[in-house]
Amino acid sequence: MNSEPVIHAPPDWVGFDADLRSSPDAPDMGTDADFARFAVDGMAPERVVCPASVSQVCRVMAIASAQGVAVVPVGFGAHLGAGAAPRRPFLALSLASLNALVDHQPGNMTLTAQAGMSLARLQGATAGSGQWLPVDPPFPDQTSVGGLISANLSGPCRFSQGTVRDLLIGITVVRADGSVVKSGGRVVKNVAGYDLGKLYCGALGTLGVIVEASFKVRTLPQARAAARITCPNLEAAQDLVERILKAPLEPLFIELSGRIPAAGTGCVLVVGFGGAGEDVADQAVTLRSLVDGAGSLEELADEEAEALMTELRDSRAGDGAFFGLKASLPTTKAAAFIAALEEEGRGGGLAMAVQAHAGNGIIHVRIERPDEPPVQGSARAIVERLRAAAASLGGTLVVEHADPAIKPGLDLWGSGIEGLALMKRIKQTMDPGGILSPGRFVGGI
Amino acid sequence: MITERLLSSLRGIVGGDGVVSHATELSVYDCDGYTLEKSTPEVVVLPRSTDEVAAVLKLLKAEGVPFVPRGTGTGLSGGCLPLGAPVMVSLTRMNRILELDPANRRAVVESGVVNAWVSRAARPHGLHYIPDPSSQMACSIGGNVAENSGGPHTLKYGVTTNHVLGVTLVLPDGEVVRLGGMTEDAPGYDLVGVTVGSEGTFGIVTEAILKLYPLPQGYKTLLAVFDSVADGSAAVAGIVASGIVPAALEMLDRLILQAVEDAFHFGFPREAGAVLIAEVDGLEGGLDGAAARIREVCEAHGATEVRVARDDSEREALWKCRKRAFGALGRLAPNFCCQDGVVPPNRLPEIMEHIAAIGEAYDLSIGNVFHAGDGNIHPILLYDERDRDQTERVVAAGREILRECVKLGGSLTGEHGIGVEKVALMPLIFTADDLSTMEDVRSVFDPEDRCNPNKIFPSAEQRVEVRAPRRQAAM
Repeated sequence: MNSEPVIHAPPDWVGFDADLRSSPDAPDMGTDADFARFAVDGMAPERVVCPASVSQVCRVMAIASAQGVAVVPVGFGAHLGAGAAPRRPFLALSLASLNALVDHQPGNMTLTAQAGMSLARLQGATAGSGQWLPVDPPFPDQTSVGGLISANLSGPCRFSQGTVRDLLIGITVVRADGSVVKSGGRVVKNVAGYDLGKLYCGALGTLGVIVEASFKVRTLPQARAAARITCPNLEAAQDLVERILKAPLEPLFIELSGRIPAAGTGCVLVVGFGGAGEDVADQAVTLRSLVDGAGSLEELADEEAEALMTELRDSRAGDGAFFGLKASLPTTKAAAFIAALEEEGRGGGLAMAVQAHAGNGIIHVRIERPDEPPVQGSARAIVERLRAAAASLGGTLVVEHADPAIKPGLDLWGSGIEGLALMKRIKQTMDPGGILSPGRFVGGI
Repeated sequence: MITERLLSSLRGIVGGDGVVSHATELSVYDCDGYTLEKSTPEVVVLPRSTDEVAAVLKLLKAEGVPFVPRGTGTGLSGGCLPLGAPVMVSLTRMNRILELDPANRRAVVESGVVNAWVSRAARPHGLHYIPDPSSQMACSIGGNVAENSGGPHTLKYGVTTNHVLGVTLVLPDGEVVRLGGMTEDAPGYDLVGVTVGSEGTFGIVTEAILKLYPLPQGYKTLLAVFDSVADGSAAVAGIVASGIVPAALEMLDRLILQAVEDAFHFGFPREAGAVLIAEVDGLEGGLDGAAARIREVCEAHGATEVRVARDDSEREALWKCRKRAFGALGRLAPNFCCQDGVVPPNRLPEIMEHIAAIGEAYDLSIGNVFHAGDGNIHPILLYDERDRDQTERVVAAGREILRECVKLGGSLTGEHGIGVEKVALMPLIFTADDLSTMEDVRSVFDPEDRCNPNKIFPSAEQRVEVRAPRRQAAM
């Protein structure tokens, strides 16, 4: 697979390439399996390197920069389906060996971790102090800190906790030329210098190799509860969402999920609560009176609630789907967009799973693989029609993942992104040689 | 540098009443809330729309003239001080709330809109705009965006950057870009996120899309009295560590609380070493429990008295005292310099000791009124600018305080910005590579270095005109 290495490396290069270190989060890391694990849309890396220190990351980047070798920074490889495949053969730069919890200061509600640490281990390390990093993307055991930032991953709790951009307080990055640069710091409030951390959120590794990040952490909810409300139809669910948003409630999340075509009984709204025990119990009562016949209500507490939250968190993952979309809409337009999805489903005989962060106007759509092999153009047409529908409602739509067979034909991000010229210039200044994840991001960045 | 021809072109864009060029009128614009350094622009332009801002900047681009944006001039780091920028663009005539969308919890406002107006407009819908700098009755949203402003209630809910979803940015060449939008997760790099807090060096933000949040169902506001700042600081660290997240946690030391008491007669104990204002908000059901826990922590750390605000009017009076504390300082000295360092909250007792020692060493009165919960200190150094020696000691002592903040793992500024004030200290926390990366990003937006030049980055040379003494308005 790597019989023709693209890098003619100096001897010391081989040292840490050959000696791939395993990660406590992924004991099988450092085997041939890495070539499959780090394939992007079926395109395997030419080589996998796993530096053991930040200075080795710098050496890799300096060498790659000098030789013009494309580099894709990787964590566990679970979220590489986002964005386009690299434009040219690439080297996968694994951060698996940089996996330490650098600094957790429970008394200051801050945490610093290396990029290769898994979110699951990070959460385990903070739970002992009654804290968590309040993000809940799918599969935290396969999500690295670097990947969390680079893919801008989020989950249901973004409704109450925000996303990684709201929690990131400092970042250390190795630039394309091998220099190490940081912005921010380790305190929760800080405006010294530009907030460059924001640029790396969702940048898919196109601006630098994240090696370390600092976050605000929050107190873990002492109690949890969830209510599953099955609504007869979408309109009833949307109406309920709007009433919940106006009610004296502070939900942890509000998730709306359903299938197209509708499987049996309408759509399901799950409202989660977390916090002090009495608060959670009070809110469950308030919600019960609010629902009052608008749907059938099932209340879950503690372990049952947690299990449901985990199921919701992991359910939108893309494995095996034909393609997946994310629409971002004004919250009041979610139902109108889902109606557009239903129309699309009827017209094209498509099966879809819909999961909306209803309080944020974020709708994830997973389109199942059709029985008939699709014509490439049809997937493109579906994306374009749904993008037009989102735009007409004041929103945007991106392709989150797609079968490699159809992905090259899809416009992943949509045209007319405001500020694209500025984005291209930022890429140019941060990575003048265009070696970092080339072609993975908007506008061919 | 400013020719009559240029003035006439500017009048052609913004109207005769939108150009200020007489020396007496210009003196109003010679500083912001940071009064240690002053510099007067040659002309102030007051556009009324994004189109006018774009036309002004196109003209300045063609003439190669540097400029500085200015909101209402309440900044505390000299961010809008014109240094090598003869033209000042004031956004105060762009003061319309363009759109309020209560159902989707958004407000679209022009940059010159005063912070407090947003919450006032949103209140009938049960919503408010969270960042609430102490200057919120006067400071503008554009200035808040430039500085990534905070305020007492950002402890729980986040600072400006967490509440801005989009900006209209006029680039230094006059091009208008609308970054972000009304919805979350706009595709592409988060240019909104990096523009917020860029201290007006990327161009001129003319409009912002803001997130609104529901008003809390209830509040409980406590006032805890301590014998010393050390006890109060230890209580703050204890509250943060306990896992309670107050909506606000503010401390006033004796010097400040006496000045505030003399000005506003709230009923603060004048003999106290420090008072702590702690507020919890949210659902009514949980408030008593949270307030009780805060009371316990305060008492465990030696609080001599803990009072709870009886009603809304008492709560409002308390917040009025806190937010107008700066106004009360005029009673103590003609001038003050407010520092803005940050330490991890559990290092507050140490930094307070350092500040006291530095005050003694430099023979200065230093008061403290600050956002204790996030470790954002505001030591206030009192001085009289007619006293040259004292003024120099203020500058030196301020820098020493910030050095101590950095040593304790903190930062130079929590919400006021680097501006001109802290330029020289940037190497304390950033390497040359860190800074050049930031300058690389700056050059993407402002390749000719004409937009608010000589700020943030220590390579800048400061050209400051030291003006005749001027008494600062009290209250």
